[in-house]
Amino acid sequence: MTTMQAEPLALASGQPGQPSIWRRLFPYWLNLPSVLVLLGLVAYPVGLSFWISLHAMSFRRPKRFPFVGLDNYINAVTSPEFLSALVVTLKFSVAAVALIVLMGLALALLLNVPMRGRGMLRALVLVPWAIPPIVNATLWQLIFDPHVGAFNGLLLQLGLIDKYQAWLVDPNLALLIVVFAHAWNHVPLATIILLAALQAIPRELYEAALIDRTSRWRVFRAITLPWLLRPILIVMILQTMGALRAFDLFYVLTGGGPGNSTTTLAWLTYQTSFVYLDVGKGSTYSYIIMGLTLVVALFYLRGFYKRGDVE
Amino acid sequence: MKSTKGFAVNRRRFLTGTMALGAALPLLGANRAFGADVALEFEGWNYDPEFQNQILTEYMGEHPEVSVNFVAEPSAQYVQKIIARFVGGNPPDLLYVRDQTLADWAEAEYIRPINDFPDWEEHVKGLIPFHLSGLTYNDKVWGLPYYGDHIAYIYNSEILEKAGISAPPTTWDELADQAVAIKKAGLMDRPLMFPLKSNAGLHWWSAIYASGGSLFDTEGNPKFPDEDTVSLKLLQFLVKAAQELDILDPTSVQMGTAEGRLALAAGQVAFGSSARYDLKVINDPKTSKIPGKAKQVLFPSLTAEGPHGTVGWTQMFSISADTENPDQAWDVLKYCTSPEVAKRYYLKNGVGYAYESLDDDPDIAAETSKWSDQAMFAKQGALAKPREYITFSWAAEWENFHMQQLQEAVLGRVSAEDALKASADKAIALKKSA
Repeated sequence: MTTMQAEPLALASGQPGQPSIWRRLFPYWLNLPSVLVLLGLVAYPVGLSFWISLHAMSFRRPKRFPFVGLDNYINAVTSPEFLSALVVTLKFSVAAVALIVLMGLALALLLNVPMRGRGMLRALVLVPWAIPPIVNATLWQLIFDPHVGAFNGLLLQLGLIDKYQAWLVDPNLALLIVVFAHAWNHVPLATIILLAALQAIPRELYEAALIDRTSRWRVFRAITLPWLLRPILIVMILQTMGALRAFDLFYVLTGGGPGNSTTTLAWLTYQTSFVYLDVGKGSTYSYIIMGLTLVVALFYLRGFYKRGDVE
Repeated sequence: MKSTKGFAVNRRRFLTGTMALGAALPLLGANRAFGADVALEFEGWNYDPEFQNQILTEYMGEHPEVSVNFVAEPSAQYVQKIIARFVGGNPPDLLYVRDQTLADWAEAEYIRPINDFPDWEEHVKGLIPFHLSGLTYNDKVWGLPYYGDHIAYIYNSEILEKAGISAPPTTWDELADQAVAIKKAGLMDRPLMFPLKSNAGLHWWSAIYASGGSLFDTEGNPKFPDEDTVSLKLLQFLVKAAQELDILDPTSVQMGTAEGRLALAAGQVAFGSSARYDLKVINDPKTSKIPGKAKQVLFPSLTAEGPHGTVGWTQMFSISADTENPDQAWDVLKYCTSPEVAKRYYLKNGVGYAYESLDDDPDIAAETSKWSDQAMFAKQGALAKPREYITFSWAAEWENFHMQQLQEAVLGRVSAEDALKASADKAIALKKSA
């Protein structure tokens, strides 16, 4: 049997055992096209948008490009509109992530139980995830329509209301409805991740608990939950990032209103960049959202990995 | 191996065919320019592009030396798309311009004034005054009118009749009384809608003009809520209509012009404002539940004295500042904006024209009478004015904030006075930072 072995690499100087410069650079040459693509398509736009965020740039007056340093950032964090949008964003994100994790966990636990039709249920639970966000938003808009909406029809048939209501014009309800619509679209992903994690928990642990006649709640608390902490962390990070950037639902369902009750940072960024055409300020908002996402991710990582380590 | 007779598509043939098609595509696109000395590009939004292509085809038939390629963009992204083309150094030769973007695009030197062309004055003679105002910025005229119209006040005549109301309202108080009567008669729960969505500023402005109010001085300083009290009185009326009388459809806070038109056409409300040309749709049995029942009345005011004005707006065609063929572009511009073309456009779509001479045109009167009232159209049109603040660079941001404040007040979350004070403060801050 012949053993495949690389030839000893030769240096340009000809010293045995040393690779030539060409051979040493070869892997870098192979990676160069990908690196160039990444630099061109990711690094350059990211860097340029940061540079723009340091300028007072508006497409209404595109020939003016004065450098303003961190003024855009200072003005943003001190403006009432920004602070209001930040509060709405945080409210939306906390509520959406909590709902998604809880519903995802509940569904994963349910779908992990052996029962008839489980395969069908597992397939069905994926359906909302397959719906594009903009279609999801339109669907919920029709459901909550004040004149022909299915939600009004249902409540009327159940005798819970005596006439159709305009749910989305109530500033408190509007945000809750968006949270619910967002959760409906994103729960399947959480369910899949948590279901996969549940199936990876060693059976022996449950068998030992059964022999010890441990209560179900204790089994959940002492075995299931610790094993799920890392997947839950992943779900929370993914969903927080998604919630902080959520846009489609606000665009279709509420347009940031009524008033500014559903104006989130993502909506404010869109308005600033594409309606007011103030790309300097719009880029600033984008970087603030990015920073916020980073801080939240770091917070999760520190908080959960310490307590969730089951190794 | 079994052979396949006839034409079989294998990988090689597919690739060859695709490459040949790819190579031929630019030729297909360019064939319109064959034989023409000058090729122009004309970009607009996608409202009835077939009509525009028809007019341009007729022009090219008369001027074979010029080829014009019309490109229609989605209306909602039109401004962003055009700006991207200008910033990218690849602008069209001719383009549609909305009056609210005129000042920005003139300041940015995207477009050129038509005053550069020798015979320009002939082509602005006889324009309805608010159209000419809409085309003008810094004492120069920046294009010729495509179409324009005014915000009309509309009522459902059938509902009023059923409620025993003999004449439509002229003031907001009369309107409130009629709405309450309709409500009491059990005909409608909330008969009034007032578009208050963030992009629906035209309606608020129309109501301000109808009562003789003004929001800003020429320098952009807000006159509301104290110096000019029309805004405050009007907002207090809307708050009362929503909170106390319960006659204002609460979905008004989510309504723009399109949603308002749908509410009127669906017979969900008895009173509301919309673009004047929307009457054609609202009175059409194919698109409306109240065909023939929607009538126009002069915009209601706070007092019987009026003046019942409204907002008029103009969409125009302009010439790019960087076009290499300005004379040919000017020629196309004149052709596409002639009164004859405006008349054809009106007869087809019902959208308003900019020429006073057409007010007396029998064909136009006959068409209008099918779905509206030509005399009322002309009367309200004569009272229309463009929005007085649209040339300020901060106009869009302020208007969005202002409409949010109106929503907050109508929903009872802040007082009318506080909402307007916040709006005035915002205008001052934006003006300062501009």
